[in-house]
Amino acid sequence: MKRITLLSLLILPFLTIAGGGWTKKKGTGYYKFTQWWVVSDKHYTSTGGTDPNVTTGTFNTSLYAEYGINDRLTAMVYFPFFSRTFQNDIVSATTGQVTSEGEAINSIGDTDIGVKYGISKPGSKFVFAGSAFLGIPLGNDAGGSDGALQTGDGEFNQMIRFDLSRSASFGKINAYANVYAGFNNRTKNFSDEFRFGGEIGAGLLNNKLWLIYRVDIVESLMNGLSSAEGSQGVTLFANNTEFAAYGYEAAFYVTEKFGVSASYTSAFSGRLIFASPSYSVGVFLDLK
Amino acid sequence: MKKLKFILPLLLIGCVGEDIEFDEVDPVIQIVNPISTLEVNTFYQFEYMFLDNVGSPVDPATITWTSSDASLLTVDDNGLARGIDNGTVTVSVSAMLNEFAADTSITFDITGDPTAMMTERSGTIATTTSYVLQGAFELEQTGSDLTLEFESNYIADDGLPGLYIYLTNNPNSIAGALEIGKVSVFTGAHSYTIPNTGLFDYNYVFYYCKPFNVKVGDGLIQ
Repeated sequence: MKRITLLSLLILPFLTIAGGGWTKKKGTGYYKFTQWWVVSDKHYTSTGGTDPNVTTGTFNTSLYAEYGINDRLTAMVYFPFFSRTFQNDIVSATTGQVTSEGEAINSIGDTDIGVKYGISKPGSKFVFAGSAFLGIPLGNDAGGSDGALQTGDGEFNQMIRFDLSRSASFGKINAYANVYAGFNNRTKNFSDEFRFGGEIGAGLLNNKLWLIYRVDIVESLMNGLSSAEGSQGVTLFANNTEFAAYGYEAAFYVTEKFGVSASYTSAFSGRLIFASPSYSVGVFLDLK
Repeated sequence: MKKLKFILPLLLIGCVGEDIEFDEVDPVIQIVNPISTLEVNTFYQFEYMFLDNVGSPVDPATITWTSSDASLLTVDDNGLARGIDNGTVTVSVSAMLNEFAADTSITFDITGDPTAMMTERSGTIATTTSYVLQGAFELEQTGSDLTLEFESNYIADDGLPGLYIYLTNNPNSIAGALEIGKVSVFTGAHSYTIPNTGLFDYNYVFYYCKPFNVKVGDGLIQ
C-alpha cells in the first residue's frame, strides 16, 4: 500500500520511523535516498525564547530502507552515510578581519536500525504496531577545534514506539491517519525522552501524489546531566533538547515503483535546538 | 545544465560562509596604575593603555598629560608626576590616533602617607540574551595575579552548553579576550584566579557560549 511507504518519509534524521502501524508484506521493500538539511542563525534557548548564534548547518545524505521479513515483521535501517556540519566565519564589521574561524566536519552520521511488529490482526480497521530501534553512534560527537561541531551525539540509545493507524476513503481520495508514542532510553548521561506525534495524509491523482502533514513532540525527562555539564554539542545534538514540530511533505510516484519527495519541517516551540526550518528532497523505490 | 542548476545551490549552502559581527566600541584611554594617594615630595610614573575602536591596544600619535593644580602636582609629557603639596588633585590624560580620540582622569589626595595603589575593582554581570546570568563581583590584585570573586547572588543558566568566562576590552567580540575558563559553577559565591594579569588590563567580564559562538552577557568593571 502506498500509504505505508509514504508514512516512512523522514521528519528529522534522528526521528526515523516508518509506516505508522502498517508493516511491509513479506519480501517487499521500500528504499529512499534523501538529502536533508537545516541551516540556522538562531536557536531556541533553555527558556524557550530564541537567541542568535553563528550560522550553523547540518546536512545528511542518507539511505533509508524497510523490508518485510514476514507479513508482520518489518526491518528498518536509516543510514546517513554522509553527514556534514559547519559553522560560518565571524567577520568584524569594523575591521573586516575574521575574528572567529569557521569550520566544517564531514563523517558518517548516527544510524538507526529497528524492527516493527504488527500487533493487530491482519485486516483490522485500526492497525497497531510496536517498534524497537537502536541508535548507533557512528557520527562524530566532538569535531572541530573546540569539540562543538557534531554529526552525532556519541551515545547509544534504544527506543520503543507504538503506532495506531487507520485508513479511509473519501470518494476518490484515499487518506490515512496515524498517532504514535515512544520512549527513547539514552546513555552517557543524556536525558531520556518521551516522543509523541501524529500525521495525516491524502492521496490525490489516483494516489500518485501524496500530501502529508505531521506533528512531532519530544519531551525530555531531564534526568541526565545539564547541557552545561554534559555534551558540548548544540542544536541537533545537545542534551535536554525538546521541541514540538510540524511538517509538510509531498511525494509523487513518477512510476508505480519510483517517486520523488520533498519536505519542510518547522517548530511550534523548542528548547536548545535550531529555530529554523529543515528541508529534504529525495527519491524512493517502492518495491511491492 | 538543468540538473546542475538544481544541485549547485544544495552544495553551496553547505559551504562555510561569513557572519558579520558588529564589534565597534568607543576608543578608550585608561591609566593602568592608578593611585588613591600620593606621598608629598615624591615622584610617580603614570602608565596608560589606549584602546582603538575594537578594543585593541594601540600607540597614540599624541598623548597629553595635565594636572588640575600645578601648585599641588606637576606632570610631564611622559606621565611622570611629582607631588608638591598636600591637597586633592586631578590628573588627566588624552590621546589621539587618526580619527580615534579618548581621555580620562583620576582624582586622588597628596598626603604625608606613603603612596597607595588601587587594588580592587568591582561590577555586576547581566545577561544580554534569554539565558539567566546575574551577580556582583569583585576583582582584586594579589601580587601578579588577579582574583575574580563572585558574590552569593550569582546565577548562570546551566542549560547552555559550553559557557565560558573571559576578561575583555570589547564587550561585542571574543577577539582579543582573555579566556579564564569553562563555567562550572552556576549559583552562589565562587572565585577564579587569573595569573599574570593586571587589575586594569581589562574592562569587562564577558560570558560567551563557545558552541553557539554567541555572547551571553557581560559586566563592566568599575
